[in-house]
Amino acid sequence: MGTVLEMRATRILAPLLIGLGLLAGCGPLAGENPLAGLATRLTGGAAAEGAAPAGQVLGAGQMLTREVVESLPTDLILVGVPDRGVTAALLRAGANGPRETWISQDGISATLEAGLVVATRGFGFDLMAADVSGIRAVLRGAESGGYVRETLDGRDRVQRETFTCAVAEREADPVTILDRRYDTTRVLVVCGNDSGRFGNRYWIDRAGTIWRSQQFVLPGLGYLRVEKL
Amino acid sequence: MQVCRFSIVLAALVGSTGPMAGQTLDWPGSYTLYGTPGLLDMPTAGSDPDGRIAVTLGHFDGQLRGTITFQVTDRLSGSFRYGRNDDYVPEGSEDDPLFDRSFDLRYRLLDEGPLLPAVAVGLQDFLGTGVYSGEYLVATKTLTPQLRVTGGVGWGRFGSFNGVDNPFGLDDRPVYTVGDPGGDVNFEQLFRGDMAAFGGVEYRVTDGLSLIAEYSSDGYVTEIANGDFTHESPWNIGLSYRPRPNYELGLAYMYGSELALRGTITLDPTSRNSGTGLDSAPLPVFVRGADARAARTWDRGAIPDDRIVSAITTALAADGIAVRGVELSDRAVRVRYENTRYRSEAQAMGRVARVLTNAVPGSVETFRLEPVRRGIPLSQATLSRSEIERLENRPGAVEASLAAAGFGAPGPTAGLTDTGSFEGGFKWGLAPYGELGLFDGNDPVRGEIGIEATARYDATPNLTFAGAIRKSVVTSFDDPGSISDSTLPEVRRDRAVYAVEGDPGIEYLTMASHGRLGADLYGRATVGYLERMYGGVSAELLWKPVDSRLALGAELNYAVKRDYDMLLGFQDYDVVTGHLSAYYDFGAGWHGQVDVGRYLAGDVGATVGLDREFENGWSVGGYFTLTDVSAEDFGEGSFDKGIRVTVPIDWVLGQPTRREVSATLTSLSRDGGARLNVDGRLYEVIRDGHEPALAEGWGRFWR
Repeated sequence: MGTVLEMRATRILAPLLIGLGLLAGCGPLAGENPLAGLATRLTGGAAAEGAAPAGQVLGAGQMLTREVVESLPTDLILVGVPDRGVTAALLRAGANGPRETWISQDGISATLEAGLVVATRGFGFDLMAADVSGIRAVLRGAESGGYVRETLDGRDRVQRETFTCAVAEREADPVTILDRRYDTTRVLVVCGNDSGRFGNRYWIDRAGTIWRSQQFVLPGLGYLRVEKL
Repeated sequence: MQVCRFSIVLAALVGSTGPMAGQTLDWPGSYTLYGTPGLLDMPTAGSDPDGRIAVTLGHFDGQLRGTITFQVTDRLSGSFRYGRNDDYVPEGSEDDPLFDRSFDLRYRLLDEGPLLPAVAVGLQDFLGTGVYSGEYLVATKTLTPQLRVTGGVGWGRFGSFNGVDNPFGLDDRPVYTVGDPGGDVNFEQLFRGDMAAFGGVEYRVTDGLSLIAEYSSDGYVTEIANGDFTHESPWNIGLSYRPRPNYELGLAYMYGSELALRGTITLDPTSRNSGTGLDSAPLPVFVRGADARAARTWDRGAIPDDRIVSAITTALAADGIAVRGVELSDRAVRVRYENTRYRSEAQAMGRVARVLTNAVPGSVETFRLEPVRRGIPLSQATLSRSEIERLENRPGAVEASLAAAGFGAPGPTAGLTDTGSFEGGFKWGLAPYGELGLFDGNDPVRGEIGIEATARYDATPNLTFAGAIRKSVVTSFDDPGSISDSTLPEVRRDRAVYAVEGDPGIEYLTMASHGRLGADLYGRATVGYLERMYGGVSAELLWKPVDSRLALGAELNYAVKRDYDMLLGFQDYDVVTGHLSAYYDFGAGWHGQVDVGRYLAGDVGATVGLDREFENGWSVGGYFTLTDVSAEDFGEGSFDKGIRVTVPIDWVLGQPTRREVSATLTSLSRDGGARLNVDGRLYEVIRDGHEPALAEGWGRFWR
């Protein structure tokens, strides 16, 4: 995932470099020159700046096996961004009450509350905070519930949006994650307000554990696909 | 020290893809050949979105206009224009072709409603020589999703074709005589002279393509009289094509005789390609158990202080934050640090606070954070650990954590354990630089690319020796041109000579000391080759309480003019110059500054500046300087004025960095009202760590 994020940056930078035909700077102070920094990042950066670790250490999704997961001392989740075509493994890094923060070695994190995304960091377009108590109530059988989302706009100001959510569909749909099959129900929760709507899918077992989900985070990032390993 | 100037700004323009999905306007208006919201040559009552910058280049029949338009507020916009007019003065005369700078203002009086049109009033070229001057009152109404009509009345240029007598009886409108200094507010011209009607229609063919027809009330009277401008018809037709939201191309057939071409790039400082930026995720907050929270102290035998200090220092170093000192007690921790990575000091505070939740024992409830810049502790923010634990990732956390934070003066240096993170000594660098000179005399664009060698020796956190030498590789600064006559000493007029002869040249070579002199008092002293054109001594005092929106400063300099070769020698001109300054943060992003004092040419006067600063680091503003130099002595432009833009590099790159680039576009840089450029002026060093700036940037505390 780091690689792809890095490439996004590269795409933003490309016109700069084309326009200026840069040379890399050298010496400790050269790093203070924004132009020199750019050139360094683009020539050696992608490999040097930790784009690889998650893939090499933990393996990308297809390289992970059940044995690898079992052998690790910490829990793992897989987080994918379908719009960007990337997936990364995230390690459990901390908990604040029911909210667990999962983090990748290249500096991306997702915070989940009972499997529902309440925050992201390092994706560029990030969910700063969320209140998912309404969605949790809906999944437990309530007719409708609220969802509050906070993001930062381009000026670093907080934007708060409120949605109303309800279950639109429930259907038995077992999932298999790393050779392990779970007897789950797929629940479609649709949230909306005056400016738009989105649908989240949760694959939930009888005990209420969400094993797989596809949750809309915010425009600019799109959906996160989360699997509990 | 700023290394490259316009290059990044221009690259940002090219690199930006502008507003994000969901921000598209119903039917964005197009721009005129003057770079203003409008039809082809005539304005409409439309406005850009708040904060937008539109850069336009338009050309037809001897008219070349480069314009930057900034939507200052929702209703007010302003433009700065550099134009070349081949027909304004008779061919062969000294001023042919005529190069001219001009400023406009526009204000939208009424918003478009279901029945009423939008209405705007505009002053074009109200502050320049008056070559393009014209005023208008215009109304625009969208009749169907495909059809928009505009009608208005104009004076000056906009009243020069098929005009009628002035309805207010103000028939006398003095004309600009080439060679006059110009540059004053043209009060004797505004809304005077003949009045004429103009109008037009826009038809939207597709989302990106519109057809435009207009009836122009500009007769190009002077251009016809003095040049070979052909005016066959008042009707102009054209099209506007917008292949992407931020790029617009225009093609038109003007005045029955000429093809016109126009390109406009728009840039929205309020939107960012990279979202909140690609800054890596912070360490999550560690939440204490009930026992740890209730503890009054901890077992220092099991967890010695130095291990805690070392953990804090190491963890924050990985985040680009150098911890200078730590003070630990049973219930509180004080950390003094220098943030070298994040533009927003609030974001750095959030990072420090989260690391502290992981690093200090549970009995420590209060975090006191002291940001440092140039060796000066700026302030102390007091945060409650329990609140940090409670608010992480919760809606409302930004407001609540700001409300719970306390801001005050930093504590004493005594009591802090030195972490040894200050790396003094010698550092050097070799890097490319790019420089762009815009609107220099009759050379609208000049550029240079070369190599810059920099060196710095930090003797103490407060005392720095620094220098830089540049050598150009490719340059078009090869001809200084002629230096115009003036009764004033050559204090800035000859700056082009430095660019030509000072290659290689010493950009600066200084010893600078910054320090805190009292509770709210800061000081700076700088000695050496201060800038390209002057060396000498500069001393400054600044009074700025941490929670104050007001700051007061005093600066005194003795400056000697450097040799043109930009080596170590000096010329036979020296001056004592200095200012008393007042800075005020009005809130809502408005920031003002007034400087009163003596300028480089020995003239006495004041500079007034007003900037719109966005929370994300962008700033766009303007200033003017009035001194006891008369308009005649000042020369073209009458007095110094200009616009200035600051672009944060993290906005451009998406990567966290404290770098920014600033550019100033002046009407014409001359000798009156010229100030010394000294690096490290106190206000800019101090203010980011004080309460008003921290509060404005608090959105990034949790990022």
